[in-house]
Amino acid sequence: MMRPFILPLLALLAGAAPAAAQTVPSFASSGPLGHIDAAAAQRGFAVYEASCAACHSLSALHYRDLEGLGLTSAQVAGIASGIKLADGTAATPDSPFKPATLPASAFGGALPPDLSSIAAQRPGGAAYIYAVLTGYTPAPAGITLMPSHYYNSAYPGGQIAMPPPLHDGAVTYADGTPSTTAQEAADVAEFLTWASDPTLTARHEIGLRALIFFGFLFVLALVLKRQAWSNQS
Amino acid sequence: MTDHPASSWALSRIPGLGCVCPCRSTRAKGGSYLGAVPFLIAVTALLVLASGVVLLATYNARSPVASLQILSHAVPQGWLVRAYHASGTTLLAGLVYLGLFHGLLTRAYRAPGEYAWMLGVKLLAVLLAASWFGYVLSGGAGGYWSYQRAMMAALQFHGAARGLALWVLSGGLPKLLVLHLLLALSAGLALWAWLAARAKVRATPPPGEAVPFYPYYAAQYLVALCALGFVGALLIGFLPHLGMPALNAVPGSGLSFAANPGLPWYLAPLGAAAGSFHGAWGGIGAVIALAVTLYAVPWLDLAPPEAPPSRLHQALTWLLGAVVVALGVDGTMPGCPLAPVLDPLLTLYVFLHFLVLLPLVTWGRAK
Amino acid sequence: MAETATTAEGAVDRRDFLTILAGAGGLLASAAIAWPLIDALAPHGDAAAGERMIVTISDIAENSAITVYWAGLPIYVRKLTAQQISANQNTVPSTLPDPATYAARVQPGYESFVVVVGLNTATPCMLEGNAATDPRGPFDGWLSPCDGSAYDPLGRVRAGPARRNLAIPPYKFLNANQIQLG
Ligand code: HEC
Repeated sequence: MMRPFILPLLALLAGAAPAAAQTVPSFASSGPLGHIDAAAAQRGFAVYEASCAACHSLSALHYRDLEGLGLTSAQVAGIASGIKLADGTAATPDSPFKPATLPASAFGGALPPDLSSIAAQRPGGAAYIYAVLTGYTPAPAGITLMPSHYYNSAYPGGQIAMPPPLHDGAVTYADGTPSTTAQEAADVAEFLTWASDPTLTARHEIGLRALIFFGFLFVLALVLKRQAWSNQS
Repeated sequence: MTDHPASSWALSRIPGLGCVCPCRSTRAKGGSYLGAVPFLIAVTALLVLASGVVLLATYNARSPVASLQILSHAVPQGWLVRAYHASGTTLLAGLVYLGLFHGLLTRAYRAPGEYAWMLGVKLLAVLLAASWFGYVLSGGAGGYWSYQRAMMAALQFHGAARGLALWVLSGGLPKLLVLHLLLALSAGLALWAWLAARAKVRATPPPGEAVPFYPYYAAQYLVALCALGFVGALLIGFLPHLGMPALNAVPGSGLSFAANPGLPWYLAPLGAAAGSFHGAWGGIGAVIALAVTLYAVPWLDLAPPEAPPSRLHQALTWLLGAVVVALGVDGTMPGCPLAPVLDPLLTLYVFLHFLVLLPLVTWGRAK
Repeated sequence: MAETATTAEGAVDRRDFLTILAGAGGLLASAAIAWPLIDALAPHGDAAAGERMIVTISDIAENSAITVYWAGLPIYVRKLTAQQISANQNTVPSTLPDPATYAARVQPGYESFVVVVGLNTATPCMLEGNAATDPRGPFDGWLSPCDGSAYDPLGRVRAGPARRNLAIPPYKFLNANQIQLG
């Protein structure tokens, strides 16, 4: 009786699971003890700049936040100075990420969502983003595509307004990693995971330490309690 | 063993502290760990209040999502403060539900505990109200649409009811923040009053059966506190969004439309109950009726105060607990196809339990 | 008898030890839980970004000052003349009410620029003397219209009820044309 609107998220929740046929790589950030792979996320930032930033904003981030990925402030200043803002000046580390420049009307009314917390918003997170980015296939026989839509096996409903954003060699990685489409997709998925949950690594580490500490204290307290009550029973 | 001199020095000088601090009491032997729940509630409430105060330094009700992004990206430990507040609320609500359920199971509401029981119900009510405002203040799409729905419901009213509803709801998030703070304050006061009232009516055990709080129950409370810390670490570190509708990760705006936004788990049973009745009046009526029924429990139980609860009574209470959990599970799954049928049935059962079954099973024993 | 006494004592010792250990653990846990709440109130990147301000100084005429507002304070940025520099360079600090050398009032390499908070240090009110035509007092610096305190061009107090030099806000030169406050 519920009709999910606009957000494919609800479609996913309601059970319209995508036909994910691809094999999805394992992400360092997934699982209860996962951590952000800083090298992959740095490459993912390069992919974002080269292939996504024209359409998708990342409004929650400032360039200085990249220091959280292990870049030095000098490196961040260098990256920022290479980015031209709308008013023609160069960005500084304190600038928010540059807004997208392509008009939304370009995609038949489908708005490219802000990617700041996309990994938290979509069930599956990084794996789902990877699956969408690599899920473009020719439409199966019998499916008529809506105007300016592309067939994507991972996207709920199968038809997405985003043109395939990645191709082999879309970026040149500073660390020499070969830039295959799959590599780019995995890296940008890790980067977006970091963007929506920058404290993931710290959260897991602190959580684990606290669990061990309270577990130890619990046993200690239990022994103490037993001893205290031993002369009463 | 008697009090530590420092604690008796302080207790004899601060009025009101003695009645909530368990440290001087003598207790009956053999009390269960659940007896520590009110103490755990107080500790968790302190954490939630303290983190809430710190959140105020960064949170901006005019740009909630942006200010919370700054909190988690730029403020040192800001994400942790937010996690204290969110996961702390989950713990707090869970403990209050647990405490009330324990009260039902053990008939803690019987005379002279009626007033303490009513204060406990009031604590739950104020806490849930405060947490709804907190959910809206997060700026997520879940809270946004929950708020929009409440506004639309308010507009269906006429006259004074409409005026009152709009007084509560209009004015946007800055005003809701004020109500959130006021409700949090009242929850703190209700908690204090509840603890004091419980201490006042606690039966003095016969001399042979009594032990001083320290060290016997102090050690037991410490065990309970460690368990609380363990669960808290689990929630904050690994399940930070437990019981939150996934939709709330999307910034709320007219674009994030969903017909049924869902509610956090602690509000879900109430939401499901309210949703089972027709229209805005039906929903509000159901909530008020539930509160009144809970208040009246001491008088719906007809057994004499000293009688232990019967087997059947306890079994029915467990069943009631299961029904409330089922309502909650239903309420956290927006779009569950069974909900329109199940919710009214379960809600009716809750009323049936208190208004019919409880007097029936206790009536026999009165004779 | 003696034997049982020792075991009982041993048990008490062990319980004391456990109590202390558990107490210490509890304190440690409380401190660790409270720490983020305190740390979160420390200054942070975003607030600091809001407090930074870049001021262009290349268009300040010699012998005049501009006023900018930073952190709610009026900041005066003044360009000295060669004559003002030489007149103040060799003042013996100990003869001043609030001793300060020339070098302590300016930044190395940019000795002709003075950056101060333009508030009198006795009765707090904004000082006059930014324009060459303003009343500047006998030391050619700034004059307080409220209580008559007089400052030299470096912002050192020379006369009047005020006893302290003008405060210097945190700033640095980005280049010969720009300074950054904050
Ligand atoms: C040419 C513009 C364009 C580019 C370049 C682009 N996108 Fe998109 N993207 C869109 C549009 C339009 C949508 C909305 C699709 C829809 O609603 O059907 C979208 C949607 C998405 C979604 C949301 C899918 C969902 O579940 O709703 C993700 C994730 C995404 N893009 C990631 C990326 C990434 C990562 C890149 C860079 C590698 C990228 N996009 C590059 C236009 C673009």
